[in-house]
Amino acid sequence: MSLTALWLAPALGGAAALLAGRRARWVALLAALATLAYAISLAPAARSGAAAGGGGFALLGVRYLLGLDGLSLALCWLTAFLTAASLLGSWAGEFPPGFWAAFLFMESALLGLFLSRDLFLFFVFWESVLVPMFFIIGLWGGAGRRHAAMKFFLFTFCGGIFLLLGSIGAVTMYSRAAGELTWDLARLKGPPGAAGTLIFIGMALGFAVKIPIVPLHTWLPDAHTEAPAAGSVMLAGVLLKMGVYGFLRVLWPLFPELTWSLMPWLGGLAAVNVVYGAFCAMAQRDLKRLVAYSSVAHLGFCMLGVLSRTPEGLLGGGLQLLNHGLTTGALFLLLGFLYERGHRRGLSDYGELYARAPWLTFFFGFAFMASIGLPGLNGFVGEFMSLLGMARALPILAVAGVAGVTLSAAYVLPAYQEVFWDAPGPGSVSPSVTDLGGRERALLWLLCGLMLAIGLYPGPWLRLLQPALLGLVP
Amino acid sequence: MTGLSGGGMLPPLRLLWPQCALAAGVLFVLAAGAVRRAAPGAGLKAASLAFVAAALALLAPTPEAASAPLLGLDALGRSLQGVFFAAALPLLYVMEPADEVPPALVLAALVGMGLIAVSANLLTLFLGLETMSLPAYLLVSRSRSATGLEAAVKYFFAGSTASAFFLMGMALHYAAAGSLALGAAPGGLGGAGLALMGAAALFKLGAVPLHFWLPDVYEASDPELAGFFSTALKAAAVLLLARLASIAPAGAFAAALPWAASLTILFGAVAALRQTNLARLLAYSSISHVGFMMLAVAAWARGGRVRTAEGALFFYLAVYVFMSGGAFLWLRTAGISSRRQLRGLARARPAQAAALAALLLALAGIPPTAGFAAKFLVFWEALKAGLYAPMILGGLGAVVALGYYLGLIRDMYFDPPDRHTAPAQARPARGWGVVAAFAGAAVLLGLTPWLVNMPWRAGAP
Repeated sequence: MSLTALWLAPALGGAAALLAGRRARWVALLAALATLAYAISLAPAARSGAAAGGGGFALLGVRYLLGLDGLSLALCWLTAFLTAASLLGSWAGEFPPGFWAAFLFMESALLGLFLSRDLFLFFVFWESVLVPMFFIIGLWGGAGRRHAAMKFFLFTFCGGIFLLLGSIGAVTMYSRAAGELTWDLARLKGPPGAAGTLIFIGMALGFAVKIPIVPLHTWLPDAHTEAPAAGSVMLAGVLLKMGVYGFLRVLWPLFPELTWSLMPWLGGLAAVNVVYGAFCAMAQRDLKRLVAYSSVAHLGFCMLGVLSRTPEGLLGGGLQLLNHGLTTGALFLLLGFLYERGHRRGLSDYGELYARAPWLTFFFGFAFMASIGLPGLNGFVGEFMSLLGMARALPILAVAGVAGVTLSAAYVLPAYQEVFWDAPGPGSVSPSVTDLGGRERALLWLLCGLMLAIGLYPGPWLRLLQPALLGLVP
Repeated sequence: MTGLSGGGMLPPLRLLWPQCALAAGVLFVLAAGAVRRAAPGAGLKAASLAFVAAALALLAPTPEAASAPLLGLDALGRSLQGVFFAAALPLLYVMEPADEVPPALVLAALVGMGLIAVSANLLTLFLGLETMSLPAYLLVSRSRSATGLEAAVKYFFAGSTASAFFLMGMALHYAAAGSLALGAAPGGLGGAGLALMGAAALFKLGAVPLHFWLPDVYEASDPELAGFFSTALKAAAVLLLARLASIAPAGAFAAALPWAASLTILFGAVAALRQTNLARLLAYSSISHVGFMMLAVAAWARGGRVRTAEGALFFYLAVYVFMSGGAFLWLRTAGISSRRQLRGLARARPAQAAALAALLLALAGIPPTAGFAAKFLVFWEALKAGLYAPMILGGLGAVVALGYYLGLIRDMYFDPPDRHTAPAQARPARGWGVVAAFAGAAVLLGLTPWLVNMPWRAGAP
């Protein structure tokens, strides 16, 4: 019951916000903070492994099964934290109640996703995330929002259909083989042989769209760029994690051997992600698009670590999920603040911002450094461990990953220099940019503090993830 | 299925109680019309009364084995009668009270559908089919639009051709099997007969390539009637198809059915993408949905006619009443016919836009709506029956269909209003309560299969 409350609370908060009229943002913030507090209070339950809920009725073997381990808890924390942060980040905007409610509905679906231990339940939450995000992009996004919202929904739904058909196939074949009809992820095993490979590919397609794996990534730059700042935070910070999480929670336990035998292919795709994402980012003249492409590269790191199937790689990949959420979340928040002031996103629209907005410059610099993996900050720990793991499993892919680290500096630093330090060009909107206010600074101190804390002392976070992830190591 | 062929001793009339009530209702409604100056609206009242009586008669307990040479009632037939009633119910709310003919025609069509539901014999099946179709032609001809009469003629000729096919098929079947009872499975000539009768059923369903009459008819009819055609008449035609498929589950007709189904799903989805008239768009969308129903029938016939497959079929048809019936009713109550009028509607009429968005999401099959649960159950049964390729094609069709369902939501919510946009309504039209209830049902029924252990599922794997 206690876990049901975790995903139900934001949904109820969202409904309340819809009815609250002009107080909607307060109601929403209250609900988001209460959810965050409740999620944090679940830590002992997750550690003891006692937290599990549901059961009861079963129809076609579907059961309402919830569970909580370190991986779920970490991602629940990330979701609850970033939801509250993105609400605070949009605090100054004049948004209708639907805006605030949409974020809470999305949070509810995301928490449900990270908690479910039944494949069917997982799928229902997986698709439920789409609807609020579709409206967030389409209603409150930038100039190309109509197109971006459609593209986002269609891509993910298309992947979702393959995921659904694959799941049905896996469950029916398991019930035929084992004589037990169940969607329970702890018991389900994928079928062997050609049918198994086909089902694996179908389900992997569903997850790959979300991660996103090149060449299924084309929805991402549009969606991230056109979404409102808070929407981009949630998209990059949490929604991309769904794909890797699904891979770890569903695909891997179902097909342990197949995942391993296909590892060179999947890992190759992840390495392509790292390098291709970096080159694309390098070519961007739009700051938000640049950060969007950097996400493609970073998620490639996560996959490289996870696929190595070594303890350090898995832990590094898992930690990198959190790191990317924090870092890119902070970057998209900052981009939102910058856009609120200058109403432009182009690199050449700004210049010499350090003089007008020192705090903005500082926080941008901090988040950029974390993003390229500066030692002492969180990104370094995750990327280093991921690459270490991959170096033990398949060194050639680790080499590609290391090249990606170098490339990330090559796209981040020139952009940072052009926007904040170089002399502004003609038509620059720099003069209109004012520095961050108290609310904005407080929010970013919190995010940057966490980045530093993870970077300096990752131990507790790794211990949190350890039991869940090391179970996957053969 | 034994319930259909066994020769019980119960008086068969008992199975026909709902139809008797409806037929009496037709007479009363028409009689009320004779005194309509004295009591306006008496026709609708009489129709409602007949309706309630028929529904009660349906609920009255009938032993499962109650059957006769011509009549029989199984779980599928009984539950689908409930679907017919649910589909016809909203009409009583939105019809003009002054005109007594449409309610009488709807009741007469319901009599025919009920006959299809209780028939255990090709002859009664045909009688039901004709009793259902003739009022439908008349209803189309009386619609308000300028092209109503033209569409009615087209519908009539198409429908009559289908009836001729059915009769011809019946004759061939009789020649081969020596009986018109359902259940005999003759080969050779009988297979050809079955194919002809199947073609008639596909015709009535609007399955590709026998769908050409359908968009014209739906576009020309009043939207609420189009909704009735798209739900109740389809459910009856699906039942007809199921009865035919059960004659020879291993025959060529049953083998071709899943492929026809996936073709129908894909064609309907693709053709709807470019429609600018909303009734036409929904007509193509209904073609696509019919494909899913056909897939369910195919899985049912092929998988040994298990009750879970019947449950999936029933659930799809029941949910479809709320989704499609609700969407057509929405068109009627909102007074909107063209896609252009939807642009920016969310600002002028937020509640109406939300209702349509909910219906569209259900039609698209997005979890956790009922439309998703319905599609999921069909996919499940199709896979259990080993229909892999049609299932995957159906999945692709669902993706394509998302393009226009989502496109309509985009138009309503993301576009600014322009000069085509429908203005805000000063006074809500009649029937909004029904639309809201249907939209709510289309979303919330998605939870029911998982919360309520349907009788279908008792003891089933």
